[in-house]
Amino acid sequence: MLEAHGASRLLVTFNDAIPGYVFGGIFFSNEFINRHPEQVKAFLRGLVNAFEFIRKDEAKARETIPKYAHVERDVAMKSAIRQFEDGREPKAQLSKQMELMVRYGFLSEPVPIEKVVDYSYLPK
Amino acid sequence: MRRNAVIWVMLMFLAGLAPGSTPAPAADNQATPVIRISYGMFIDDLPFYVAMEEQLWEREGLKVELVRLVGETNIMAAALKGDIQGGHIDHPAALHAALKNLPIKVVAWFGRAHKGTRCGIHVDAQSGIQNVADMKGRRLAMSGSITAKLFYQELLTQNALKEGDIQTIMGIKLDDAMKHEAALRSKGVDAIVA
Repeated sequence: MLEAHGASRLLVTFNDAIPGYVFGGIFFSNEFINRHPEQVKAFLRGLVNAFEFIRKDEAKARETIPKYAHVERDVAMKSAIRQFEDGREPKAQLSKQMELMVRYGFLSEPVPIEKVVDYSYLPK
Repeated sequence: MRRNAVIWVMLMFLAGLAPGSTPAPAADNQATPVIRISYGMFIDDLPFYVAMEEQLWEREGLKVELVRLVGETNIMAAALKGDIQGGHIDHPAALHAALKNLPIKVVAWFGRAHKGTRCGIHVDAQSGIQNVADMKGRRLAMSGSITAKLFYQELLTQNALKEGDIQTIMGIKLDDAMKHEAALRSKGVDAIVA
């Protein structure tokens, strides 16, 4: 958006600094997962289908943005979007990001990824 | 640091209240279970919008309600109270949650950076800044998020710069495009992480 208005120029991106940076994820409380595992699985099937829809028909997917994000259509059609795959990310990538957090003092110690991530509800 | 500790203690307290007090979403065997999930009203939430418009969750027998919430602490607290069933969480917050033994699980990741990513350092078009080294002595605005700080620290390392070489101004939100533009146009800063 900034570039579109001529105010700025992109100097360097997240991907330049930390290639493949995983921005975030979707979580549920353990209690909800334990009480409603089938709902979690159904939710994730729909979500992964949305990822696939975006990969196959990005333009149509982008048409949904103005209604929900309240941005102008031309911005919605041009803005960069994240790369969505199947909800899983390489452990090496996640570990690398964690190591950077520890190195720069944003995390006091490494944490086993398995402690917070559970892919077992994702479609195969 | 102490403030963070207080927040985590509050979250743990909320988690402790959760058993038996969570407003029950519809049981798995009911006709149309409802899941309330947080979103930020950002372009990055695109998969949610697609799933809503294409009725991808309805096809799976779910009704999903998007609830606008921002800030990982707020989102996790809402989930642990049962106001929502789940939400989005950035990678650093997920690790902090694990470190604090918060009772949540990341069940899917929600997108990664790639060659077409436009998130990064945006410089004033008139600034003459051509590379990261040119940022020395300039003013850079960014949010106080760990994600933005991590990116910044790694850039310093890669470009043999030290903290202090660039004057950082914390507090501008990554999603607030109008503020970004105003800051650059007014020459209040030379660059923004956005």
